Amino acid sequence: MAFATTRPRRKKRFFRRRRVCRFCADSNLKIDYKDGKTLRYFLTERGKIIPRRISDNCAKHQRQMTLAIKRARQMALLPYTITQSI
Amino acid sequence: MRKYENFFMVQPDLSEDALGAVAGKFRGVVESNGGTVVSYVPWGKKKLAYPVKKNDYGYYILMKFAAGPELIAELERNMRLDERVLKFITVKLDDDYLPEQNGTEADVVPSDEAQPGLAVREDEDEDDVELEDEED
Repeated sequence: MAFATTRPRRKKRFFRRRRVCRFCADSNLKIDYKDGKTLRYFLTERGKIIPRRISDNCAKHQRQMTLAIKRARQMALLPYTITQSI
Repeated sequence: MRKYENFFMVQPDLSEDALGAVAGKFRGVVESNGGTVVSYVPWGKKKLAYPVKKNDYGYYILMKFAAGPELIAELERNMRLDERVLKFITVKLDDDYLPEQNGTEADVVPSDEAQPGLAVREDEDEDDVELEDEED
């Protein structure tokens, strides 16, 4: 059960700042599939879509975001994949 | 009538005349099938994220128009047949739209910059590290 520890344990319980979805916070921001530069913030270096738990988008905006990214990929504004040259 | 936008990409090395011809052709397709072109904005040449038909650049054009649903098939058929068009996408913007009431739209080419307010991604991934470290 409880073990005596020499170094004092800081009890840090899930210190997670809950941030709000940036598209909810700022209504001036628009999700547009033609705006590749903005959508790029929601891609990893390899071109994958950043998950909601990291991007902090709400469900609604994440849905709009993934749709926009997929459309942008069709139009070659965003990559489907970025292959690393070795 | 519905409002649509057609975002398409033509070959990057077309001359001014050829671009005019493309504009004339697709405006014609929309208008001769009972649609109204609301705006036609050339966005210019952009670098592509991946090569399309061996082109590294593409010339993007955004056309917004009001039309019924049957026009889309005809417009897309024409785009597929046209060798100058590399890619296109048609998106419905509005289900109920009357071009007479709304007038034409300004032909604004959006800036190449990302929208401000997004760049601030302070300590993005760091707070996942701070999970519980209590073992007792």
